[in-house]
Amino acid sequence: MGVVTEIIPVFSRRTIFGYRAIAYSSMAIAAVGYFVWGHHMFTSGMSDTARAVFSFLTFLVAVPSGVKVFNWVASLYKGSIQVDAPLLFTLAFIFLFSIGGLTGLVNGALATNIHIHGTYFIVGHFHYVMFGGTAFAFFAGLHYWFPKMSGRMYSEKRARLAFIFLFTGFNILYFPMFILGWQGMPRRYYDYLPRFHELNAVSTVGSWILAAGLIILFANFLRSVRRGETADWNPWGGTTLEWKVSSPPPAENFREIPLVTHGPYDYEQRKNNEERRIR
Amino acid sequence: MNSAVQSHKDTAGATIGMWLFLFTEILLFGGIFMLYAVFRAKHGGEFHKAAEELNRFAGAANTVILLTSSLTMALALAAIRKGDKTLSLVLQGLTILLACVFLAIKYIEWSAKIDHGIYPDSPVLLNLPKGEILFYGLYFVMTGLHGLHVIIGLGVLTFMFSATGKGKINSNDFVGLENSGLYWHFVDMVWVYLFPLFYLVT
Amino acid sequence: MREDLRKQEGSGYAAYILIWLILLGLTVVTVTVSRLSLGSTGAVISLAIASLKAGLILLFFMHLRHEGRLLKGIFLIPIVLISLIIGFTFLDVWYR
Repeated sequence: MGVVTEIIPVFSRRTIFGYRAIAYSSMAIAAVGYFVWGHHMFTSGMSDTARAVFSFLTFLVAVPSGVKVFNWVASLYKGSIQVDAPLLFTLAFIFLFSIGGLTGLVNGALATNIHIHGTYFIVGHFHYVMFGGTAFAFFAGLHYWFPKMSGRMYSEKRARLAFIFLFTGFNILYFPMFILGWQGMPRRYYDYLPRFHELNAVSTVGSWILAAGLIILFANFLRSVRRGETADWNPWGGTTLEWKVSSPPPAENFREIPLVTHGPYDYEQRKNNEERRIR
Repeated sequence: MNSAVQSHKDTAGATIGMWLFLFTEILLFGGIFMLYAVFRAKHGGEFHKAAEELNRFAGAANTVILLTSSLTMALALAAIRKGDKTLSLVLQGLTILLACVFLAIKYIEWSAKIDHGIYPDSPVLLNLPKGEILFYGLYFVMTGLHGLHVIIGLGVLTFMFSATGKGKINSNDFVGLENSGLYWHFVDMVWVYLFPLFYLVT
Repeated sequence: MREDLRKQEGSGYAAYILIWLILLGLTVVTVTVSRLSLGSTGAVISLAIASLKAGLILLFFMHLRHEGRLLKGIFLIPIVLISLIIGFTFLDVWYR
């Protein structure tokens, strides 16, 4: 989520919307997230009081998560958006994370939890959050900082190709799981009833597409480490300090302590300065 | 640039690191304390009955010993801060001695229980009511984990004793001894809770 | 804050010995109280005394009272965390 908050301002040329709200939301998720362990045990014979409290706390996590999603979207609003691979992965993250989060509310509600407990719905949900959330943000970060790490650019064309494979493969693989789970297919069995066959087949095809995407993505990186074009100091036009040194950064990073005159995502400020200089 | 590269000892950082480690220790013991709380809430009477069998005198003696060793530890730190190496060495030696006495009493206590056939999974223990089995299980785990901490502390204190003797710990650089002290006081603090919870169940 | 502590000519041996005597006194109190067989009140009292002792050790022997506000604040986190965890667990134990 930090990576996402870092990438969005750079590719929309706007200050992050609600910086403080995002920071506090991260802390709130961490704090509340510590006290939701009971939501794994709603059907285990736990007391009703405990179930109600844990269900409430689980719902509470949705509030800061929602705050963050809205802030990210608001940061994009009226920006001059530059759709490169890092932003593509970031947008996919917001989309998949939202699906994962909203289905999380379905799990967290006591009544629906009884129906979907221990089914593929749960499997779908946590893959949307853990893979769609964490891994896509991780890929976004990898693409974003790859030039800084290696000193070379990856191939944008191949990165986009990998993205298309990953995004479609991901949804074909995991979305049917929501439907399967809702129909009652339990998790943690190697076999399933014949009536679940079609969607499982779809899911399997999705997994092949996803795997192909992963292979393209990493092959692109491996190739670019050796043969990519040499990267500029600041290929994305970022304003934060890591872009003020060469790629890859020299030992000790800075010869002298850099003078910071504006905030980390202060594109408006920079634009004003440039205009003043032109006048 | 050079000033940033030059190695210097970050004593404040060292102490904060030690505190963070102690916080994880609090959570480690806290988890077992929670287990104790749950089982005591369910089997209060049997906990009381089993606790009567423990040697109160040994428990109280060990409390006094650990509190005293905490005192000598704090005094040892104060002494080295004033530059009084000899006094500090004597006090550290006393702390080490008291830690050994604590372990000896603990050994006698555990041996007595084991002689009576009470040890985890023993036939005698398994015939007792559920609450008493749980009580003794927690007794061995919690005092055992605490005893392990005492043994580790003993090792650390011995190391510090020799470092002080060699002059590596002195009135200018005593953060090592300070952190060992923090650890030792923490071990003492855990015992402060274990004593009433196991020996004085009413 | 820490630097002030370092500059101090030790915190005085007498203060430590006084705290130690208080701690020993509290140990005597907790043993005496446990003999009165007060039931669950006794458990509350003995835990309160234990916490008082732990507080004295923390503040004086471990010099928490000389530390900065940051460390004091962070110290509350594991305490609050463990209390909440035990509290939420008892929501199940008590109301089952």
